[in-house]
Amino acid sequence: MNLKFVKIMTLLAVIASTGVAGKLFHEHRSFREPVVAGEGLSSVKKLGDYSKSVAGTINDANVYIFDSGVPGGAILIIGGTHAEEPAANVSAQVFTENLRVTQGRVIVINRINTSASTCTRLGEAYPRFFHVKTPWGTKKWRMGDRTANPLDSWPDPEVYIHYPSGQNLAYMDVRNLNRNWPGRPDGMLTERTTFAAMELIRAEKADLTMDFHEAELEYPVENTIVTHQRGNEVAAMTSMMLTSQTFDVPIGMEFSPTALHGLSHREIGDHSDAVSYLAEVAEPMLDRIRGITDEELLMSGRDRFVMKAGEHKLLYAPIDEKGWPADKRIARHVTTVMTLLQVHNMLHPDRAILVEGIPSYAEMIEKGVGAFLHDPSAAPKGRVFYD
Amino acid sequence: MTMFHHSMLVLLCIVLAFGVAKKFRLSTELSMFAAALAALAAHVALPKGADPRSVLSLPEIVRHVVEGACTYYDVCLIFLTATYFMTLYKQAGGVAFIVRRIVGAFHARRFVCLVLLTFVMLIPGAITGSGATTVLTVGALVGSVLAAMGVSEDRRTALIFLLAAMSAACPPINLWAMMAAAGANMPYVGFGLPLALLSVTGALFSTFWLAGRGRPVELEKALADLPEAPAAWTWLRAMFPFVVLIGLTLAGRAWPFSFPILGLPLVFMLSAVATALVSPVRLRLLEVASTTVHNLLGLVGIMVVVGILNQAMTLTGARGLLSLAVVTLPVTVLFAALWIILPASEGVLQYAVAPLFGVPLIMLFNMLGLNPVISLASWAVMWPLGDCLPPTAVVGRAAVMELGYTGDYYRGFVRTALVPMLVILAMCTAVMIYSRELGALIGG
Amino acid sequence: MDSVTLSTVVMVLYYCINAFFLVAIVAGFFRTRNAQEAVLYGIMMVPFVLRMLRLK
Repeated sequence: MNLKFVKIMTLLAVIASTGVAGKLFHEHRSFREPVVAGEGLSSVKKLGDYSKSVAGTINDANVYIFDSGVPGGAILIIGGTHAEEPAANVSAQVFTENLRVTQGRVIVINRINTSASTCTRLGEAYPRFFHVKTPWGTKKWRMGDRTANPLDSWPDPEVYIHYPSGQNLAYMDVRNLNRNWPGRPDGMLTERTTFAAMELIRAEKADLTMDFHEAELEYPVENTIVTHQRGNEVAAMTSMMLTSQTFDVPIGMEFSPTALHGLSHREIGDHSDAVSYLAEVAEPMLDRIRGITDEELLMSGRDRFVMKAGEHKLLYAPIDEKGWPADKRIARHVTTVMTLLQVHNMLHPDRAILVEGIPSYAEMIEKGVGAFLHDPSAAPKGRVFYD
Repeated sequence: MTMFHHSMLVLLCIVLAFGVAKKFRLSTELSMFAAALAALAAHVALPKGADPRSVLSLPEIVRHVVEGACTYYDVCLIFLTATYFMTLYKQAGGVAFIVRRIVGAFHARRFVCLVLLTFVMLIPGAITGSGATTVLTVGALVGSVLAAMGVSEDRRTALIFLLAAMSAACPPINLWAMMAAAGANMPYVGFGLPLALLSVTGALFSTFWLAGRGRPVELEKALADLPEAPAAWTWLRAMFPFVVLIGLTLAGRAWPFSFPILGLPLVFMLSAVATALVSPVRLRLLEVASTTVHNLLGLVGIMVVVGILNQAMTLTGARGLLSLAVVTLPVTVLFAALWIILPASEGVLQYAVAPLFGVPLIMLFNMLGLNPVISLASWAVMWPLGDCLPPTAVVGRAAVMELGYTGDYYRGFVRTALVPMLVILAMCTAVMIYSRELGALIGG
Repeated sequence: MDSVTLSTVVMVLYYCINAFFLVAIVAGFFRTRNAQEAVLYGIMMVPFVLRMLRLK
């Protein structure tokens, strides 16, 4: 074959493929997720308002504050730590869009690691977006990566050394938000992000924090609440109540290991007065043994390969034909926080946090989560924000 | 047709397309690229089972190909910068100077010389986690010394590969263990001792098995055979670029919270600048960059293409099927087969195998009550041995390239490396089987 | 210079390294006399171009 011809064709193919893919990458990175804040919203701050270290960066996330004006406690709800776990940020958004607080304060961050949501995880063949059906149309979000985008944090070290413990972790964990708590003001982007979040927790005098996650079914820390040792009682009672009264698949409770550093459930509790909790729910698309990877799997949570592994007793969560639909995963997270607050209020009445407007587990399962997400085009302008 | 059939057929298409492309005399890299495209075509064309599936548009398929190509971008940048640095150093005459000095000093003390060379080889991989970096930085240098010591071409190429593989396995940085541990949410703690025991034992055994015996070095003849170094070279000049390299790498470890994160590529480029500064001969920096890229075309090309293949396999369920097949093997079969499965899969997918097989295996071993740290350490020493196996053979090919090996790749080089490889694999298998007992003994 | 600015400088240097090798890859593409090598240079170019354009 003529060399010149091959070169011209190759060049055209490179230009065409980088052009097509580049356009899709750009569309993904620049897509803005509309949020219709609930009526009870008091103010929207930026993470950068709490620490200059993150101001103006891609991780200068919206901080939605719902203040009842009545003295009580405060909770920080964190979504989007790992942007490849969509039930986390949508659960946070269910609070942002529906919340009314009658005592104390609720603070919500839908996307704490926005950078991670601007690219998908290399080699995992994820879809770029995911959608939820609502009564008024379809709502769209960015599907993301476990770690921040290298375009925002480059280079990685050969080995990531956690501050302040000095623990060695894999190099890419320098961009993994849940290995960077409590952070530092002059570190890499994710370290600065967690530092700003710690400043928020301290400034707002949060009593408790909840960090939403999803986990592969092969992973032992599954369908559970991981708690700092100071949250022992609240987490145990929450887990018991949810398992006996609400959830078909039990939710467990376990302590944050003291030897594993950088995680929210360990470091927030160690470096502030807040009691830190983290909730995990099963997401089959995170399993390495999964089959075809697409949005359908992400949202239905149904996978035959994962089911096969279940038959071989290799999983820590049950799975059948019904899968683990996103509605169920989100409903579990939302209801876990509601029950956690109920127990917290019972044990700490002086620091109570009373909320309204949040759908029940049964409502979310029956109507779908989309029924509780609002149409940005029909909402008053002052209540639409973008993450 | 079920999703199992779908993914199996996609795997079959990958194998067929690779075979056909090879038959048409396409290079390994382009054959793998063709296999990845065939996987995507088969995925679109074949029924996908009973469950509903999302629509996959043509632009999205293109996006997956391009995204896959970016998977190992960071590794490629390390390969390019490390090789650029060493090529400059070689052209400046630094390699010739050091080799002549080592031969001059140690020609009469073979044992000391071999131990020294083994550790020289272990250091770059131990601090970077990359066997290819070891070969590309010190491989040619150590190879030249081995040649001067009378080690045959087959043996010295095999030894350079084996030491590079063991250097990649050597702590503190073992990328396979780190990636698998990160995937399983395990801290990278407790791996140092088992990894050091396995990799250093493996390295020393390889060295003395392959180069332990040999005729005494005839100094005059050896020096006459070695290339001359420019007269202006001194130890001070020769060490300066390496002081920059090691200094910057260690500074990041010693003062992690006050020293900026430089990353290996920049450290190598700064070492390249240091080389240019001390070089007694004028270096053509741009020309060396072109030579570097040309020499690394196969190596970097295969990493880019493996990324595309991995993405295609993940999208189509073929990767999951392989992973599922491994973890659902009966335990005794798994014990008996991992020593083949791990290196062979490394040959196909490179670092991607660590999370692919490592994470489900950690979960499985945990469930079986075996020690996951010791077990993962043993796999993390087996994986790099697959870097001389087809289709990628990244480190093997790098060794062949750096040493200018002229023999037959499989019948010469790989065959020579076989005995030490089997001994290391057997040692790792034993450690894996007795991981519980060893864990109790060494506290892993 | 504070450490955040220093990190930004390091990142800029990485774009320079990326550009340096991209130029070498493009030069190799035009220089090669081998059709298969040309195609491989083309594939190899992709991640470097995307990083240069800050798209991936």
